Parts: sequence; C-alpha cells; structure tokens
Amino acid sequence: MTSVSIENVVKKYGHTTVLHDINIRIPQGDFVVLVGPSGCGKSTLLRTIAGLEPISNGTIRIGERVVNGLSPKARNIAMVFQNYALYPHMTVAENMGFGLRLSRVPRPEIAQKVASAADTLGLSQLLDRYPKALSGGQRQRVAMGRALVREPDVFLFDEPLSNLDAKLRVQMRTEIRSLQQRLKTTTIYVTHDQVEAMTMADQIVVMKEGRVEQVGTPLELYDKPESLFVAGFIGSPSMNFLKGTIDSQGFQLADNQQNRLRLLGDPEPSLIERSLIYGIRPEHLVVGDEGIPCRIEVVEPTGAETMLFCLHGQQPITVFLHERRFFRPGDEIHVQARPGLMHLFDPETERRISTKNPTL
Amino acid sequence: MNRHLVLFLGPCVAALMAFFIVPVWQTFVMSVHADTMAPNPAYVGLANYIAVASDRNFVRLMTTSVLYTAGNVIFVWLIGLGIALLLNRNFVGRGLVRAAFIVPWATPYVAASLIFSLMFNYDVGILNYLLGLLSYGQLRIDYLTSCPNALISLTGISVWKLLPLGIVMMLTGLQSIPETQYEAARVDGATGLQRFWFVTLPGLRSTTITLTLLMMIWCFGRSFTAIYLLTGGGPAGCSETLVLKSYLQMFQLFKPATAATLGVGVLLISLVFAIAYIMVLAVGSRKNG
Amino acid sequence: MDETRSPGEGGWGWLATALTYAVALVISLPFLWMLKTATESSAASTAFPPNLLPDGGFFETFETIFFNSKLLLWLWNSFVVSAVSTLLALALAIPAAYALSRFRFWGKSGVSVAILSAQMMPPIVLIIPLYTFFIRFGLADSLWSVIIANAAFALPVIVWMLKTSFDTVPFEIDEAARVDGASWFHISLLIVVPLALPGVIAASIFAFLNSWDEFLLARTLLRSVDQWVGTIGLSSFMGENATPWNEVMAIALAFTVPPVALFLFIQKHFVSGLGSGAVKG
Repeated sequence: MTSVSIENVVKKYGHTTVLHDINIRIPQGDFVVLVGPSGCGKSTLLRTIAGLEPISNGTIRIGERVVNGLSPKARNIAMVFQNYALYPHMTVAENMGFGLRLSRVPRPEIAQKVASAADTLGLSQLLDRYPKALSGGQRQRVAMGRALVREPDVFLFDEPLSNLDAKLRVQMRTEIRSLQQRLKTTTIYVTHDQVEAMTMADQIVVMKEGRVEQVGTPLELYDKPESLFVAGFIGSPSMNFLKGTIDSQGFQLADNQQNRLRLLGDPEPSLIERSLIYGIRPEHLVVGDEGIPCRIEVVEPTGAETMLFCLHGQQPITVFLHERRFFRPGDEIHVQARPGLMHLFDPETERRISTKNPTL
Repeated sequence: MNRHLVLFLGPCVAALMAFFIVPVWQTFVMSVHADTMAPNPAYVGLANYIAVASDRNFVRLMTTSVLYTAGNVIFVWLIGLGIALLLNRNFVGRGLVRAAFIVPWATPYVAASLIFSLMFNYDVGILNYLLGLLSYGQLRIDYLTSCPNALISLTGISVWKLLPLGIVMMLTGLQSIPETQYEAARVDGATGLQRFWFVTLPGLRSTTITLTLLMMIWCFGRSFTAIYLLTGGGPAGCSETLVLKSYLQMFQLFKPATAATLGVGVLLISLVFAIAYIMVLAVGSRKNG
Repeated sequence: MDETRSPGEGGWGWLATALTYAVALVISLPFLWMLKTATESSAASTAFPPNLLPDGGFFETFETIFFNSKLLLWLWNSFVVSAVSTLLALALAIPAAYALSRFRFWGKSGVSVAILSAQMMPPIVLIIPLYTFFIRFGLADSLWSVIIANAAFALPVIVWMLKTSFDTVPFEIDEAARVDGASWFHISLLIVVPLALPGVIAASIFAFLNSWDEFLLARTLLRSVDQWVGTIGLSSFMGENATPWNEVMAIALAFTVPPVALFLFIQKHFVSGLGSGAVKG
C-alpha cells in the first residue's frame, strides 16, 4: 500500500503539450479513476506513471520515492492494458508468471503464486490454455491475474473493460472493485465511461485537453460540478443547459419572459440581471402545470422509468422521470425544476457560480 | 533509450558501413586512378571514364545490357501475369502446380546454367530434338554460339529463374483487387475481356510499377552467373553485359580501374532505378497510412 | 472461388486447367530433365534421340558422385558457409530490425532509406574492393571470407523483412513486458521474435539460400579445391567434357535438392512474406 503523488507534471511531444501542469495526490489504498473524453491525456498520464512515457517536467512519487526516469520494472507497478496484451505464445500460467520468471523467482514459488491468483480470479481450470482459446472475459481476467501475481504497490488499468460486451462489463466492474477493496492496493484506473468512473471510484479525476478539470468523490462531482464540462460529462443522461437571466422570481430564458424555472431561496443581488447558464439534470425536472413550456419529440419508456426528449423552441430539454408515465410525441408539457437542485455557471469562464446558499 | 539504440542498431550500421559504403567509396577511388595492379597508382581524374565511353564496343555493351534487362522485365511481367491469372482460380492439383512454379526460384543459378547447357546442346539437347520433331528434322538452332541467339537464350534462362517472383507478386496484386469491383463491373454489363481491361489491369498498376523496378535493379546489376558460365560474353562479345565486362576486366585482364569505372557505371544506373523504387514505396506507404 | 465466378466461365474452366498443367510442365521441364538425366546411365545421357524416361543407372551414378568426387565436401562447405553466415546476419539484423520497428529516434528514416538502397547495390561494385580487402587480411581462400561477405550482403534485405514482420506484433505487448520487468533484450528475444517467427524463418531461409546460391564472390575468393563451395565445384564441370552428363546432373541435383526442399517446406510463409513485403514495402 502506497500513495502516489503527481506534482506539476508536464508532457510534451515536440511542440505540442499534452499534459499541462498536472497535480494529483492519491492517498494509499484509494481507487482513483481518471476520466475524460478521448484525447484528454488520461492514458498518457497513466503511462507516465507506469514509466512507459518520460515526462517533460515535474515529479512523480510512488510512496516517498521519486520515480522520474525509473524503468517500469523499478517502479513496482502492474498494469492491465486495453487489449489485454497477453503473450499469445505463452499459456495462461506462463503469462501470469512471466514477470516473476524475469526477476528469477524460484519456480515452485511462481507456481504457488500463480495458483493462488488463479484461484482468486476463477482461472484455475484454464492455466494450461493459450490466450487464443479464451473468451474476452477470461482474457481480461488473465490480464488482471498477471498484475495480481506480482503483488505491486500500485495497479494501473488502461480502459480494461472497453473491449467487453455490456453485460460482462458490468460484472467485471463489480469484480475489480471488490478485489481492490479486499487487497487495498492503490489503484489508478483510466476510462472514458463516466458510469464506470461513478460506480468504481473513491476519487474521480476529470480531465480535459491535458488539464485536470476537477477532482472529487463521485457524489461531489455529481452534486457540485465545478465547470460546465464536468457538469455535462458526469451523470447520464447529460445535464440540460439553458441560457438566460435571474430575477427575483426565478430563472427566465432569454427568449421567454413569461415562464420561469425555480431557484432555491432568494437570489443573491449580484446575480440579478446577469446573463447566466442554468444547469439542471434531467432527473431533477418534473412535469406539471407551471415552468417552461415545451413539446415532446421522442418518448423512451424503459419499463420502470420514462425519458422525454423535448424542445423549447430550438432548445433541447431532456427529462428523466423515475416512474412510468404515458406521453406521446407532440404533447405540450411544462417542466419545472425540483426545489434546490440546480446549478449556475458563468457563460464566459464556464465555471460554477457558487452561491452562499449551502444546498445550491 | 539511447544506449539501447547504439547497442541494437550499432553493429548492423557498422557492418553496412564496412561492407557497403566503404567498398563503394573504394571502387570510386579506384576508378579515378591509373589502371594498374601496382601499389599507389597515380590520380588520373576522369581519364578512365573517357576511355570506357569512347571504347568502340561501348555502344554494343550498353545495348546488350539494356536489351537483357528490358527482355526480362517484359517477359516476366507478361508470362507472370498470364500464369497468375491461371493460378488465381480453384482447380484440382493447385498445390502441386504452385510448387512447380516455385521450383526455378530455388534452383541455384549454377545448377540452372548446367541444366540449360545440356538442354541447349546443339547435337544431343532436348530442345533441338523437339525442334527436329516439329520440323521433320529440318531445323536446329545454335542457342549459345551464334549472335543474337546467345543473348536471347540467356535472357530466357533469367526469365525462367525470375518468373516465380513475377507470379507471386502478380498473384498478390490480383488478390488485392476486391471481388466487389468485379461484381460491380458485371452488373454494369462488362464482358470478361472488359473486366480484365477496366478492373484487373488498373488494379495491378502499383504491382506492375514495383515489379518493373525490382526487375530492373536485379537483372541489370546481377546479370552475371549464367552469362559468365554459358557464353563468357561471347560470341564476339554479343552477350557481354556491363557487370560481366567489369568482372572480366578485374579478374582476367587485371585492369582494376577500368573494372571499377564500369562498376561505378552499373551503380549509377542502378541508383536511378533504386531512387525511383524508394519513391514509389514512399508514395505507397503514404497512401496506405 | 469457382462458385462465385460467372456461369459463363464454367465451360472454359477445364481448358484453363489444362493450359495451367501444360504451362507448369514447360516451366518444370529443366528440373525434370535434370532429374531424368541424373538417374540414367552415362551411355543413355548422350543418346540421340534422347530417351524420355531414365533407364535406371541411378545407384551407380550416385555411388560415383558421393564416393568418388568431392561433392560431399563441397556440400558440407556450402552448408557451413550458408548456416554460419545466416546466424551471423541474424545476430546483427534482429536487434537492428527491432530498433527500427520499435524505437523512435532522430535519423530513423535516413537509416531506413540507406538499408533499402543497400538492397539495390549491384554486388560487382562491392566485390572489387572486398577482394583486395580479403587478400590484404589473409582471408582469401578461407571460408571465413565468404561467410562474412555473404552475411553482410544478406543484411539489408533481412533487416527489412524482419522489421516488416516485427511491425505486426502490437506494441502493447512490449509495454506489458516492460511493466513485467523485461529489458529490451528480453522483449526482443522472448516476446517479439517468437511472435514474429514466420517472418524470422522467412528471413533466415532467404539468407541461407542467398549464400547457397552465391557464385561471384566465392569464385574470386576460393582457390583450392578443398575450400570450394557447391557453386564453384558445380561450375567446374561447365565445358569440361571428361565427366559424363548423368554424373554432372546428379551432382547438380544433389546441390539443388536442399534449397528446393527448404523452399517447398516454407513456401507459404516465404511467399506471402516476400510478396507482401515487396508490394506494401
């Protein structure tokens, strides 16, 4: 169990900077997920931690040790790759024991460690198979087994579930999480899937264009996104963003002076009449007699829940209802915010506008 | 990584320097010095080049080299394409037939030269026997000891040796043409011959360019073994190529500077082909990438 | 394939097949003629009109060539030269090809172009100075001179073949091995070479056959009969009328069988490897 700290890390390829001054402190035993759209630098950051890419500036520490310039081997980490990167010419047991073999661990000890890791992952029956004879899920497990056997200080995962089908992905998600909780090994996990991030992480690091947008627990990110980007990225379906202004009675859209969306409490005087972006999650909207009028375009019933895609003029609004309701496309409805569950952003800086009201 | 780079690439680069760059430089140096085996020959500038180019047989030498190379390119392309078209179908015994087409490639050039010298034999050779059967005993050919015949026969041997390469490249080229293009052409009402003209031939464009350049490089720069063994450049020098002449000047007439001058000539001409080849490769990889 | 062709072609299929067999026979004629002559008696080998089938002088001929000639020695010399030069070339080429396939470095495209153009180098340009070089270092008339030169001549082509086949091994596998603690040395030998084995075999065979077939250099360097390799030994029968044709062809056959067997053995790998390497570059 070891902490990892990333201090002022910069990574450049020639003249392009792909990581700008990254600072992250990962406490020991934490499960940290790096999440962001493709090209945001999350995989590059993971690879610099692994020692597969040199950094241009800054410091990476694993435990108390500065590991800049150390080879992957010397960092005592293990990594699970997106395409598993199993050695096709080695059996499952050989794949798992390869790292130990290279560090000249005695054969009986390798066999024993491989057997115990295989047991943990349910691979005991497959030890003599070659990777090509395994299913996707089994390959995934072997890749994890290879990491497990080495008893590393840190686990690194690079989008490990993206090649699995949806059902298996959900199952492996739980397995990885529970394994990590048992082993308490510090883990850094890269994904572009915010659902994976939300369900697995102790801490989430949201990245965009080589910069850290926000660090926090899943619920912190959900409840208090610091920027428009995080607000839109975390949570599914995505948050609705509406442009307009605030007056004493609530939020009004730029093109609609009659109807208002609810705010909590009295707005701060400094915000009145300022142009703002009002963010509201689809699950925090209710359909009723008041609020903003809009027309239903598409209804998606999922059994227990109902999703509505509406338009107010040109402005799309998504509504997610945790109940079964009957609507048809073309219905005119009014939507209103649930009390207190809204976010305000500055359209210029795209940052959150914090208000004194604690629940905002 | 730098230390590894030196360790991994260094020995190979050193070997390439020692066995390619240094010898080429030495050949060049030899070509601008006096034509003697004695140590420390005098510097003579371009005198050897002038001497070689003004030799009364120079035009014949160049013509022979060009004809030999062109003959190889044309016939390997034509016959290679024909055989590749025949092989690119399913039929009984395809494996065996394909093996038969590969054998010339693996036959050592010296063994091939011996076989052909037996088959070309004026008195007891199978070729003259078969010719006699076809012409009721009227016709016999002097394959290696009369004038245009020698060059034609030697070109034939080389085509036989290089044909497998042509077939393999043409097959690869044919198989890279998507079946859907043929289907589209058939839907458009193209006949078999039209499909060949408008789909197959354009589809083989890049293969043709590559094959042509490779053949030019190989035939031109390696036109030696069979010629040396079967005719020695004769009769009367009519099958003598640049490469063969260079060898004979060095190792039989002991004229190192003339040999080196001819060698530099071979190199310069090959270099033109090589640059063309690398440019084609570069364009190809840019397209693929 | 046949099923997907147009129905109109069906009727001509048998004709095309017959033509294919006929062409294959013509192409194989030199090889078959060698086989036929090698297995007949010396009287039959110069008979005119020639017999189309051997008369069975087989055992006598082979006894003569194996026990009363230097054939076995020459074959052994050829084998030693080819095997050692192949190993030498691989030892230099595998690390170099790995570096070209995996490392990013300044001057990489320059090295690549140099290697490609070295493939095109006409041997005669190299042989004139190399001859002088080997004479000066007392290596003339030694198998070592031919071994070293053949290894060097094969180098550009096999580096390129190996690089092309190493390129097909995903880079992630190298990275996994690095995380597992493997050095570059380990990765190239324990991971990449086994995974690119077909390409490595094709490259080895190429180098082996190239030296087996090499004539020009051996002809200039090897003088004494006991140092001769197969190509030189074989060429000594050219225009020499004392040895009957059946024995000459039997010797040629003995010298041709190893490369042909190797070729047929790895036909698939080699052909596809060379084909794709040549077309795609």
